[in-house]
Amino acid sequence: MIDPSLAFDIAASGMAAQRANMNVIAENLANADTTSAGAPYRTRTAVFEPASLDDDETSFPIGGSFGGGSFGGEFAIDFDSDGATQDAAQGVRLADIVDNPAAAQYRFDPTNPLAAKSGTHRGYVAEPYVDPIAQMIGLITAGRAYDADVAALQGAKQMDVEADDIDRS
Amino acid sequence: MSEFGFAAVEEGLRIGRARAAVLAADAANALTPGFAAQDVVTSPSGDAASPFSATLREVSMHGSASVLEYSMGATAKNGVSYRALADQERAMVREFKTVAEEARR
Repeated sequence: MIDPSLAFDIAASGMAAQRANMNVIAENLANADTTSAGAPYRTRTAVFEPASLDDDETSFPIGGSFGGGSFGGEFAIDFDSDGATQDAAQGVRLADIVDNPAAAQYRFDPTNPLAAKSGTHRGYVAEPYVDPIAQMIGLITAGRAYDADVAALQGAKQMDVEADDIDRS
Repeated sequence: MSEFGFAAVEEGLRIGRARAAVLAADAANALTPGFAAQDVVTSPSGDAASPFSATLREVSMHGSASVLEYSMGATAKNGVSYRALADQERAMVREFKTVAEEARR
């Protein structure tokens, strides 16, 4: 029998992951104009990976045998065509937050107290390379993914309500 | 006959539950690099003993936005199907109770 809470757990993992993603993007946007004397802020990117929940929850022992009547067969979803039963439905987790390797930008601003006092970049301040359009697209995508997780959660909740209603009838 | 009806509807409800989890995983992993979206596909098997065939299939999608939209749409559709099956189950339970009461009189 499928664990009724599986869809809840998966959707919740997605919501947590997208919230972390939004935090990373917000940090990038907040630091878009941050200057520094040394190495500037580097934009960061959240990287996700599938996360297995408990084995009992990720397998899908759907159905079973029906006794009686003309419907006496064994019913099972063929999740195992390529041995993927355990991977049929997985949550997600934040695997890493990686720094963008893009080089820093330098802006000539000798009056800035953070401008380099010597060297090849004398009089320049280091600024991070932040593409605000790309960050905004990432933010919208993360928001949409969060919406999809919420929709999955609400769908699972409605199924619980329907199932409870059957029990009461 | 009623056993067949109950069993078929309840199996449909179970498949709906499983599909909800698969679609939730699609939504959760839409931004995961290398993730391939999946869905549960049901079809008549042509076998009287086991009339349904439900299979987990990879869904061909291009881009995370497509996976998200597919997941949301399929989740909504799955919810409607589940509700219809639940209505059918309730109707059959009511009919079953009515027949049982009639038989007692």
